Amino acid sequence: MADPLCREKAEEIIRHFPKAEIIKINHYKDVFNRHKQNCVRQHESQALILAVKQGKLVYPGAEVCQNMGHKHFYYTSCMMNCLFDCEYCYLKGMYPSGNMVIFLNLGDIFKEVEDLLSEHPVYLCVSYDTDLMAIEALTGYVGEWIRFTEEHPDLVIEVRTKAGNIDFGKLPAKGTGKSIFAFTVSPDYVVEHYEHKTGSLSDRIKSIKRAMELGFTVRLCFDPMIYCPDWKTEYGKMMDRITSEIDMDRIHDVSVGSFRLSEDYLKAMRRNMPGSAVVQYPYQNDHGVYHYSEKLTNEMENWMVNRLREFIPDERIFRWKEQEG
Amino acid sequence: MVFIFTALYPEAKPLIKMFGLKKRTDRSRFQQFVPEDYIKAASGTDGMEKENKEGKIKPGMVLAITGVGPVNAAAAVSSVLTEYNAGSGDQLLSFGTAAALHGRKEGSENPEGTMFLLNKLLDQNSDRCFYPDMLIDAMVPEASAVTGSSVLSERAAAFMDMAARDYDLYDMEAAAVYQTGAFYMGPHQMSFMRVVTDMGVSDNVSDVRMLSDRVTGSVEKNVEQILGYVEKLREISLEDEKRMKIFGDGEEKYVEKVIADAHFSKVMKDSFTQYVKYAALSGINWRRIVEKLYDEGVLPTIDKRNGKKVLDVVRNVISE
Repeated sequence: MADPLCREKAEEIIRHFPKAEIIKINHYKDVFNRHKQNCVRQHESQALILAVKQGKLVYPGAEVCQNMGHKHFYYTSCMMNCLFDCEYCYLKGMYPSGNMVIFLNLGDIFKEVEDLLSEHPVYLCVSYDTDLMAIEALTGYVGEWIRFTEEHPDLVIEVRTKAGNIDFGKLPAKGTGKSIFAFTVSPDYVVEHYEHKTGSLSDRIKSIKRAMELGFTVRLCFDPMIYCPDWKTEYGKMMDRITSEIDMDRIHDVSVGSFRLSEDYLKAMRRNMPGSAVVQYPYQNDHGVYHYSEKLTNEMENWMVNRLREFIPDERIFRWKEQEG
Repeated sequence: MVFIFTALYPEAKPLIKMFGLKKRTDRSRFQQFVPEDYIKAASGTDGMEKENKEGKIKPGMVLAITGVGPVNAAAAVSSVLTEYNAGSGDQLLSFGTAAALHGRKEGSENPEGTMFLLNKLLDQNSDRCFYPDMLIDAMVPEASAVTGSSVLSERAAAFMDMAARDYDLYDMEAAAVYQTGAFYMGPHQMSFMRVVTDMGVSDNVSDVRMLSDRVTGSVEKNVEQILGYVEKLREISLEDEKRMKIFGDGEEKYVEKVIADAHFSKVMKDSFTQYVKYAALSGINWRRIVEKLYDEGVLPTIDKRNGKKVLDVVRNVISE
């Protein structure tokens, strides 16, 4: 690792783990891309890989992702994998490993974003293949992204998270609205059964309120909606809490979508997680994408959209399927 | 099932004693040691017929002696793992002795007799590195190792001091065992333990018996820790086997009966299995649904088309 800034960042992160065994590797893929890894077992004792990312660093948004009405929609990954352990997470099917990679050359990503900004405005998701907020205390990357965004008027970033108890004290004091905190919210049942190590619904609500107080833009993501026994009651209880505790007028927008996943990812997840109900659910396969039956998808999403309409105008409700059409 | 591989009998001797293993006399290429119960069961001397059991039961633990060097290790590991059809529920432990590189560091303890868990394996011939997962809290210090094809002489050790300064140990099997094992298992299923016996062997070693006693003695010193580690591997192996099995024996037979009675096609059979798997995991009483279909005369069906109706009923109740 020749770059002194990367080396410095690596040492700063390593200082958080005084008892850790440090193993030198040539390339992160030598460890991350090994065959027949088991992400379930690896999540029980996750290894942290520090690396320098090469090649392309910022990518155009994928079609299956919501662009929230932005024309120049991009995403970047300054981390791979997540500290949180959601059973249904596509990362478990997409990546060959359950270990976490932190890329140390954030400055290179910034440079690539600046190149794009010289051509057009950019809407950038910075926490897509990970949850940056989960390890903000370790990396400080969200803070750095917010500062970078403040310096670039044509840049809007989205930080997606399921974290609770966010320490906003470590983030830049006041947001200008160009940094969007997108909180994925799920009922207690889903959090307890499938979203391991994530913030509870109560803690996420607290963080949402605090983010709004500090002037950050907040998006609520009811995506993915997960089917569970008596889902209407579970999601109903969640909506009652959210709408009674959060000032919905100040919510920037919301996204709604039921669980969907590519065939290849689900196949790998079913192999690795034979005992997970959410993974073993008999989804329907349409052209390589697994999802709930059309009837159930419509029932769940319509129900959610109708509840949201009581508080939020239609133009601020983004439903994934509508975009596809 | 736990597989243990050692290069030499003196390395295996304390483990064979500790686990009460017996030699399989029906295996001649690579020496194998298994629990006595398995030998009795496989030979039919436990009162049950051999034909009913051979190939169906597994010994729970196999210790195999590979011989020295990467080629022998690869051949033995491949042979044994194939024989027992090793897979996702199994664990492999490569155990043996190694030389400490870089001699005795100033101010540090003599590494001879110390046991290490290997976290990085360099194949000296190909210059490729391999990394087993370090998922078990073993309270054993970790080390990296170079695997070479020849015994490390004192002269070679002096050379390695510079050439392999990022590595701690030198052995002759670890990287080969990893590469062969990787055809059957993942990196979370393979562990590598080495006890340091020397810092390079002098060219004029002639007393083989003394050398053998020294190896056995070094292993014996660490026998309690090895026992603890193997116990953990056994627990993980049992957990994994349990994790893979969603249905109990009776339930599995019932699933097969319904599939046959409903005349499901291959696709319908896969769908049905997925429905009931989800039901079992979600606490949905799928058998009650099916029993009702039997009571109503919907099951057994006369053909696949009527089987489709059964599948629709099950799907509607289970998944929505």
